[in-house]
Amino acid sequence: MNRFGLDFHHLGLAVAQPDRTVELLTRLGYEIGSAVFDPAQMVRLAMCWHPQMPAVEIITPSDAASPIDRLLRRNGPTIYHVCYRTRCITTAIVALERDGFNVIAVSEPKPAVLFGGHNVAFYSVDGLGLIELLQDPNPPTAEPQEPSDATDRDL
Amino acid sequence: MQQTEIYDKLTNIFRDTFDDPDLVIGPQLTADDVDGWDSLYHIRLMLSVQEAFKIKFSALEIGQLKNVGDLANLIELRST
Repeated sequence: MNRFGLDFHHLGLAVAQPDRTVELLTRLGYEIGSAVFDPAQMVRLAMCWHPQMPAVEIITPSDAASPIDRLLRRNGPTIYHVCYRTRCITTAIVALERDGFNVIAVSEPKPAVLFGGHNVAFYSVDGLGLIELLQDPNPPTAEPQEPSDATDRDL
Repeated sequence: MQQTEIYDKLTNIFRDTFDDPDLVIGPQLTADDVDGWDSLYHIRLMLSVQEAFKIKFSALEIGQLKNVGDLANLIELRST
């Protein structure tokens, strides 16, 4: 653990269509988790785990307008956020600001379907870009596992 | 700093950020009302506002903003 109380959790990969991404990650040895629709963000999400490589969250837009529409139009498939797990989002943000990092709140903490209802929030941090913070007061000691309450298997 | 001065400055920032010279802003305006006000443009907007008014907001302050009126009030508060 570091001075900000942040543990790396995953990279967020935005794609318009997940098929080729799933195919490639599978061939890289990733286990592709069940996809869920997150109504708070209006996107479909699927976690991909690998024994040696960083976890990847595949994010695809839903039929409605989503926060990644413009990003995808401009950049195509792209890794656009890094997610860190923390025991307390507020404490982590205060620690970053205390050390002089400019932090801009992009979205307030909301329960995340993909992470068992734990709160997630997005911030922009200078020197790092967009980060997602996943609040987990009792982080597991083992590697994170695919949630069991996934509701939708189709990306 | 007076609210009118704040809104004048904010209008220019919004028009520049969203590349819309006709954009009109008011206290009730939210991200839902402006085409293209997504998360990345929100970051750009907040950085521009902080730079233009030479003030720095905390993440908590920005997170509590519900509309442009809140933003203008915060600027007024921090400018005094």
